[in-house]
Amino acid sequence: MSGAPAWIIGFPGNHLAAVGASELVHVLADEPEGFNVPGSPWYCHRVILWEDNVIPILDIEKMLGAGREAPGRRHYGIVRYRLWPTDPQRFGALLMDRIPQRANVDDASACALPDTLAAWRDFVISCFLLENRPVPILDISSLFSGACAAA
Amino acid sequence: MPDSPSQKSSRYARLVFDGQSFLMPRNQIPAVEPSIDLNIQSGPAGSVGEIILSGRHWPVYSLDRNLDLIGRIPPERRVCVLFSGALDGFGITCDELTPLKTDDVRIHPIPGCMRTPGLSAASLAVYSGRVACVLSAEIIARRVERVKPCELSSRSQARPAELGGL
Repeated sequence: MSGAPAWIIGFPGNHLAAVGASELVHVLADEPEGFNVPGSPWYCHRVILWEDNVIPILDIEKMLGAGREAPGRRHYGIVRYRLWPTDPQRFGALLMDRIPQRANVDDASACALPDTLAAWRDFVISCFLLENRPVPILDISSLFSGACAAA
Repeated sequence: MPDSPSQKSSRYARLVFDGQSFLMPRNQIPAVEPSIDLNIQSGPAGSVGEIILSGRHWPVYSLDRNLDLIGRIPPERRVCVLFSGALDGFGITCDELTPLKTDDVRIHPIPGCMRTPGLSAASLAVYSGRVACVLSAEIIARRVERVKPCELSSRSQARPAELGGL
């Protein structure tokens, strides 16, 4: 089957999303030492040091308004992006609740972003169906550049 | 790779309070005084007292890890770090103040998704495998200036008991 390879990411709160296969570069299974940044958003208030990069940790569930942290183990997915093709690559960390799974995404599985995921609209490129479940494809650049910010 | 070209520097001091480290340019710290020398009976609204040094009055404030005023002196705050370059001179209470070693600091910009109108740090610094916010006297002065004059009376009444741990 043709299509584009992707990683399926699970977030606390049982949400799924996808990122391009080349965007996810590493997964930290253990909680790294985080450093607090005063005055930063509550959903993204810590950074970690990874391979000499200062990387913000972003909790999408909190960004979308989750008031309480869901229980369970956390993983940290290191993703990369560029603001412009000629820019140096930058990194961010997504808080996940499981190890990502590979998937193949083809045009035939594309679907509209459902109303139940309307809050994701500002940082989603498109959406597709995976086992009849809509899975948004994240716009990593928008998420970490600050182009989209929580209300 | 940092977001922008890094710079090496030895011009920072490390301040510790409320369990968090911050870096400040050393040239903005003209003096450090023991907290025991604080005159707790005077000082402007929001301060925990003032240091009198060479005939000059330096209001001193206490901040928490989010750089919010707490209006008291936690027992582990053993020193008052005095700043120049803003508010005609002022200070904050700290657990400790240490100079950083030469060529041990690399400066990074704040990631875009962390920037908010209330952001306190100017940038982030990597040193000895750790990350700390870089502050300046001007940044701390902006936090201090948010205090309203009406807070003076409640602060004055609270002082004697709050200093019991020193």
